[in-house]
Amino acid sequence: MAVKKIGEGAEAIIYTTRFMSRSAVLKRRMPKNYRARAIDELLRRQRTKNEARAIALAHESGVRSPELLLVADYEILMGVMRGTMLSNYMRKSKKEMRSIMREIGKAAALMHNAGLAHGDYTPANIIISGSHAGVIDFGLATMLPSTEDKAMDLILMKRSVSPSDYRTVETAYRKFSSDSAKVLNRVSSIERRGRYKTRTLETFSSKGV
Amino acid sequence: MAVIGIESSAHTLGVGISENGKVLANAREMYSIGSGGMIPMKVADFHAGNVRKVVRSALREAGLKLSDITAIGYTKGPGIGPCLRVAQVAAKTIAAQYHIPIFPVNHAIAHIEITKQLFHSSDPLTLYVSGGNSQIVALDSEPYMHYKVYGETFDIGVGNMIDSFAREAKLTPAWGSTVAKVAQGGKYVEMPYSVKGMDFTFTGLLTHATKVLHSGTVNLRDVAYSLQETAFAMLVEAMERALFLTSKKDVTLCGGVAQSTRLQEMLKGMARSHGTRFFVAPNEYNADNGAMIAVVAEKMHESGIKCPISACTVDQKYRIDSVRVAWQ
Repeated sequence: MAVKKIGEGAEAIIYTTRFMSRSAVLKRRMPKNYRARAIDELLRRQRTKNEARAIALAHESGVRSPELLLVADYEILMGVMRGTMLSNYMRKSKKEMRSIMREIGKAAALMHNAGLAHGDYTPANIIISGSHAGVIDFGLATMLPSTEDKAMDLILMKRSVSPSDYRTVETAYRKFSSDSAKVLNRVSSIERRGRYKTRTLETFSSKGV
Repeated sequence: MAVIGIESSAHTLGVGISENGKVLANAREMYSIGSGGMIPMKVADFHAGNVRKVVRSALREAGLKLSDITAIGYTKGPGIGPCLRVAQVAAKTIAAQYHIPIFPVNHAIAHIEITKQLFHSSDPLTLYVSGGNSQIVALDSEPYMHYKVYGETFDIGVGNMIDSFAREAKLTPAWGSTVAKVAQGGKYVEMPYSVKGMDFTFTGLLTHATKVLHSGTVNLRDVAYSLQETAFAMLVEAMERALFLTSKKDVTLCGGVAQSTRLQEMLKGMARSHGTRFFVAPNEYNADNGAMIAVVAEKMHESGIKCPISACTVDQKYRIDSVRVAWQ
């Protein structure tokens, strides 16, 4: 299988390749020599398995997300998501941005309804194509998430988009989530916790996408 | 111009003197924790009883008199309330008596700044780990120059977690280096590993390790090893993510837990694997100390900051990201 490296994260290297005469993405979790080997192998194996399950579940739940193709011990082969990362995206029109934010809120609701929290729900993991938003990187996803896990998805997004964009996300979430009141209450209670307060209010409020 | 700094945020009473960023003295007395923890009032009493003596020995070390001192700094926080008050009162007293300016210093910033100073590293990504705190920070100029917290513990500090385990295991003295000694040659047993993005939690790990220890099914060596390896792997992994996000060229490690040779080795390995420089200060600056307070007070003084006496308070939860870094 010919592969071409297209990206490197803290945890894994991403390659493009071909599979059954179509384009595909390969994610390979690299060993980390700084930590004990037993921990390293366990983490990489568990995370690969967990991520594969999450990819499959998200895709099934109707979220625009990659399709799961193959899984090995430390590798996942999946479909391609074309578009631009929201973190690199230049906003075109208000209307388009609202549609994108609505889809981000809806995608969170659909994942949560399906029993999945993304775990790293930030603009770097949202892929924009036209006025649609897709979700990638389920490496930190949690199955059977608690209210807290779900709330963290919304908080991460809230910290990284403008307040008005976040309002659109929240409105869509409220509409599509089967458990929105509980989750949004938890968002407020997490933000009231001491350690979080300064970070949410001061450090992140000035940074919109 | 020599500046004196007084630190008493936890079990150490430290007095340091700096001049043009150079440390002239770094004296200390430490409250002995033995197999117990810290009882705030007892530690504060200890500090109050020792502060004159330690100020005198710092002056002797530097070959100076109090009348030679041009400014004074003290730790405003974060730390234990009654303990913090000892340095505050001592600093206010000296400032009033000698008519010199006084500067409240953030303890975490002091650890970071002295490491930067020692290695001429102006803009590192820092892992600050102590008893009460565990944070990943780096300078950020928006909305004003400050240390932005990229990740941190959502419950207890890693030092506190390891110390609590040491007390559960009846180790003396109940702190990290004792746990490290016991852990030597241990085998890994599975422990909860909790990193969310660049944040982490430690109570789940502590609870699980304690339960396993008391169940008697796994020996102390293996539990201690697994606890330490897991906690440090979590911190280093979160740092690795932050390094990718910030693309900083230097990585530094500071705070009490930075004295752990295993943590140093792991973080250095991670930093080097990405072509990043790695710095950790000698232990005397990672343990709580007065020199780092003096160094920051001097920077504050030089940058023209004025602190009215009414602003010279203590704050047990003094956030690192609430401080304007006017000197950079």
